[in-house]
Amino acid sequence: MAIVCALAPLEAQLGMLGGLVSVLAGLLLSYTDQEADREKRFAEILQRLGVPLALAADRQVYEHYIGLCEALGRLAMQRDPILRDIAAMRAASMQQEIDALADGTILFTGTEAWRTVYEKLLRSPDVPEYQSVALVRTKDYWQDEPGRNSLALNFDAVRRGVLIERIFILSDSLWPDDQALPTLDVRPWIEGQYNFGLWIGLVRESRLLSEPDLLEDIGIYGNRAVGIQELDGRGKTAQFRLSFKEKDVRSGRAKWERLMLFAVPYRDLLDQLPRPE
Amino acid sequence: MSPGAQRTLHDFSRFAGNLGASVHFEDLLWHGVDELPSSIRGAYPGLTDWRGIAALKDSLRNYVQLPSQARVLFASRSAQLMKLAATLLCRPCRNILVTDLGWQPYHDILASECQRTNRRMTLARLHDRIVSDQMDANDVAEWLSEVYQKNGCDGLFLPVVSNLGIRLPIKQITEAIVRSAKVRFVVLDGAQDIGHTQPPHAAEFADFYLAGTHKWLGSHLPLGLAFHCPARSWGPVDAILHDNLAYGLIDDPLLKYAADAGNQSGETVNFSPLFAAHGAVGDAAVVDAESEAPFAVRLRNVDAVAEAASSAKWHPRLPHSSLRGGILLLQAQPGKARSLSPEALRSKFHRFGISLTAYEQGVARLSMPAVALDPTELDWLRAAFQDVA
Repeated sequence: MAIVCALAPLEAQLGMLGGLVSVLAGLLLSYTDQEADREKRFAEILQRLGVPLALAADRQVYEHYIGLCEALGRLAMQRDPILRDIAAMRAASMQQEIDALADGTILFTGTEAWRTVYEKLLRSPDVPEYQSVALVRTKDYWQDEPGRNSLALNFDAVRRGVLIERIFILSDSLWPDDQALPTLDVRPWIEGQYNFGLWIGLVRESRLLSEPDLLEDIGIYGNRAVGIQELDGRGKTAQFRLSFKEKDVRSGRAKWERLMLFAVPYRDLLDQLPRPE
Repeated sequence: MSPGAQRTLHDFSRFAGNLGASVHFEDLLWHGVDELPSSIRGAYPGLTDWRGIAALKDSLRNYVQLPSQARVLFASRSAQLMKLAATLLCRPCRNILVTDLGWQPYHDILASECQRTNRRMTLARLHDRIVSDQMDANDVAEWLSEVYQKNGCDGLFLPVVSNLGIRLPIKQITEAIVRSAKVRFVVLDGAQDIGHTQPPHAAEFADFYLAGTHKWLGSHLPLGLAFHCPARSWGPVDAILHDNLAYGLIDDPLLKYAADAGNQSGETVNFSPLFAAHGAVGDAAVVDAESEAPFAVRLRNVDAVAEAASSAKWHPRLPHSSLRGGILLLQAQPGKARSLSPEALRSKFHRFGISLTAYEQGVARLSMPAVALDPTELDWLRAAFQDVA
């Protein structure tokens, strides 16, 4: 190339120069492509690195992250295929659970675990009010020890100044249509709450036939969270879903407002009783 | 202090002096003189018709014409009953309507509980509308109902009669509010009501009605009194009273003693106000039976004294006739009486044998008797007004 540059005629030299420019342009284009690839990969690396950087600001979550990373690292070194299969299933389940938590939802299957959170919420200073809907289809509803403990938590909250409003949706067998008040199976329990200063409203389940979405056990903890309780056939808590999503709280409140249209204040029912002679 | 209260209290003091440490004392307290040996009964004529604490509750219920199932509470201090009332209001209610006619120390107790529990108190300024604008009972009921509804109130705390003599139309107010809004709890302050106005008694329209026997009933010894009449309030009052006592939020030995049916409260209880109240309510019942309408007599006295005061340079501050009670508020026209301190003003009237309450700016408050003032008494009052003015 140097001989051509020095000795070749001008046309040849120009041709060579053109070739060189083309090669340089090619090299430049190639470099640009590689740069874009590098930037893309760099951005991906940064994105991955960005997660722990964001987590580093939250010490509590970061420690869990580090713990999980270390555990997964050790898991990766396990070679037994059966162990790895089980681990994969468990990890997938954990990931699902953490996904839900990250979205603001918790699922409880054990009453005690749920009660701890319930207590935390009722004790929280930014939960000045608690509205709850109790769908009561059996006389055993909330009559077991965890239920009694929960009620004691309610009473403690009321003492501290939390305003508690509760609507009981009662099956017609527990509040027959021709009776002013519910049957003695549940009345003392309901009245005990009314007497303690909770605002109590009652609805017959049959009044909600055309509003099936209202037939739920829900609890609205101020503007902070909403919980939905699922019961087993004996009236015991089978599962409890707690959501901190604003949308879910709004939806719970909307249901509460609709139920209020059907609820008769317990106070008014007592007023309708004939005065004893 | 009414004559009956004096007699009963006198013989109770003698009984306590002679037999205070004996089992007869508890018998007397709970069951009355019938449980005592005849030799003892005869020695205390002032206690002849004392039949025990339950019978005193019956007498008070009968006196205000409440049904027999209405519950009665006693307390050594009425402020303790107000503390209970504040809890009763603040547990189920978000926003409690009060007026500027209420007794400020009671409002302070309620405000403190509202602050602790994060509840609201809505103040309706009613005084000037009644005194200056001459609202009548219907206007007051409608206006208060509007304020209640507009502010989203769900609880109510009102005086039946203000300490400055405005008598609120409780029945009309509660009915107007219930027509247009939800009510979770109603407390009435009847301190200036019991022994003063006429049935239907305001206690009928309240979940909790608190008062004392020492003002218009004339028992003189302070005794807090509360009625909770409708069935809807029996359970809450009982449960919250016991809860407050258990947690030390209410600290009243008599309230605790009576609520626990005589169980030891851990503190010596002063029972003498119960005996004074018994004598006083007995006297008041006799006045009611012998006079056609004691409240109507008080109102006529208000008119007569207002007229006498007007002719003697005093300005009666009268509300509309539908809101009047047996308390007359007068203000001296500009002159020497206006510059007197309340103590000096009270003292000047005292020289004429007139007991009244005095305030700054020459304002005097007179409570009317349940017997008609005769022309001589009115002349005497006129002369006193002229002299002091």
